[in-house]
Amino acid sequence: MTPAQAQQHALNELEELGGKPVVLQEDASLPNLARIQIATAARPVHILSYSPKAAPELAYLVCFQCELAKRSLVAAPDERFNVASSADTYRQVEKLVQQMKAVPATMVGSYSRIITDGLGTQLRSMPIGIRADRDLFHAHPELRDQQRACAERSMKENVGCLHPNIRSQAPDLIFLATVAMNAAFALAWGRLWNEDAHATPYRLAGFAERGEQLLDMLDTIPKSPTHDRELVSAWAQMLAIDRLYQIGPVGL
Amino acid sequence: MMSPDDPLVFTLAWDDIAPTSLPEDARQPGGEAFRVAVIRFLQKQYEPLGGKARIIFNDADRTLTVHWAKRDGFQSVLEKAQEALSLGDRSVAISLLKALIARTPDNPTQLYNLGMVYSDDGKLELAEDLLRKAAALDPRNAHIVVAIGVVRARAGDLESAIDTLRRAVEIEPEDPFAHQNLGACLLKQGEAESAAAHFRQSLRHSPDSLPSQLGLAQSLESSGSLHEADEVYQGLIKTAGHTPVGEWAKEGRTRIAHALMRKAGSERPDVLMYCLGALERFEEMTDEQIQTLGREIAILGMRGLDINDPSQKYTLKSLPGDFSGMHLVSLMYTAFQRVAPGTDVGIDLSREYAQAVALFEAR
Repeated sequence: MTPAQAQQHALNELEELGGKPVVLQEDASLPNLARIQIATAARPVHILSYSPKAAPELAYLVCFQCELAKRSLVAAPDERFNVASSADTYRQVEKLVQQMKAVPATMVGSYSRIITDGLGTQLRSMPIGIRADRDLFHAHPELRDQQRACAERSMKENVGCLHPNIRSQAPDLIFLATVAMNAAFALAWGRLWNEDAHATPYRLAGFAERGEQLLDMLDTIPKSPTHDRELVSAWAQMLAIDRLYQIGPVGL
Repeated sequence: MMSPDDPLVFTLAWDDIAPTSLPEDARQPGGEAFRVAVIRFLQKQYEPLGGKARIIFNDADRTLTVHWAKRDGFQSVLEKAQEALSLGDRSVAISLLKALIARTPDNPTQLYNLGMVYSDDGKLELAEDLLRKAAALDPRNAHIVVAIGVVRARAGDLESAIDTLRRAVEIEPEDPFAHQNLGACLLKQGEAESAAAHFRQSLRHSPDSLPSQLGLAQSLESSGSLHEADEVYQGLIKTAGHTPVGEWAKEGRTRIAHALMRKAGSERPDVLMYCLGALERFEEMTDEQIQTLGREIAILGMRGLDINDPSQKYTLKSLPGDFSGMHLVSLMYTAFQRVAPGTDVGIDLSREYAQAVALFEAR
């Protein structure tokens, strides 16, 4: 199979599974490389948006997004879930940020919101994304170059979180959870590639063990999409952020 | 946004370096021993990966910055070993893998790779020893467990192989190789229906796998689902062509055709008449002409003759007319009985042929 065939195959599978067409659209305003919005009653198509910058790895990104969408669709409706922040979540984080006294008072609100939402998104996407990536790695060797390019780019960005400037601003609760997940992500790729380059910063900083523990959860909890919520909840608990977010049905 | 070609760069405060990463006497941030230990740690991590690493200690802000970039075309020793294997240079691969294991004996990937090489070379004890070490280090790795199952099967211990492969399926329920190998062992064990179920699982995740398609066809054939088995064999003949798998599929179709023919009745009057007609026709032909005819049908048969569908017609160069598959097989059988008796033509028409000879001689 060529990467283009794999891309078409993934789109066809998603369309067959959901019974809804997938619209592929370029979106220069996208903050990340690609995103899929699953069809709803009001929007009877799946919309897969991609940044123009994603062109060299488009086939992989389409397959990856389709894989995530398929996992959501395969799960029974009452198993589909979101990771949501509440007003109380923001209040808790704001309090922690204020205690740090590292961010100007005028920026505490917006900064707290950014790091809270960022961590929630990371918690929702990273463990499931590792699963989807592992499946793609084994099922589509033709996508491995594109997959690696994307993963390496993410890991080079993620490692910036270890910088002392970032650490000095972020509350420990948020910082430690973010970095532990980044470590798990780097270790997951290291296992697949048998190459430890991207995990090295986390080893040196002492986060590898926590990353390994998070990855072990992926081995312990069944792979089926019906267990995705359980996996995300287990990560949240291990990272001590389970009281921060509500991990519940879509639309909670 | 970063480019994939950008180097890996990270900065850590000295105080954020985990003491456990460094020897006890080198944990005082900023000291000479600390710097040497950090450099050694990074060297150990990055040296096997090749490329260029730059390590900067910033005394002013007490931080460490590392730049690391891969060298284009760099291959790790493991990659070199894997390439040697793919090129069939097994002795080079074995030397490289042994050297790697001597250096880092606790790397399950290296142990697995060498174990697989030994398994393929028939050195089963060595293979199992290495694979079990790999499994102890990485117990949730289904590929390693599958490899152990294969070694057990190759050693002739089917029960243990099946137990091991079932464990692999538990660990990785979607691994096509685990299902394929479990199916193969169950088929050998005579559990054809269970085997078919695992080959189907394997094909769900790896639909193009020829060994799984062949295994499924053989399992179906063994469990008596002959028509479905025949369909799978037909598909295999198209996709596998003249490979060994394609040839096995052709043999499978011949067996099925034979079995279906025998299922239809004890003796086939149409076959009797075809054989009798052939004996009469051969009276006017030389042995060489008969031999040519027999060979032409045999060659045609290699592409598959449908002997259960009389509406399917074939033509020959050496004999005018349209013939059904069964007619041609009867002609071929009679031809070989005439010019090379005892040749196994892949189908037993001896009873019909004997009656035809009796009728022919009684005319």
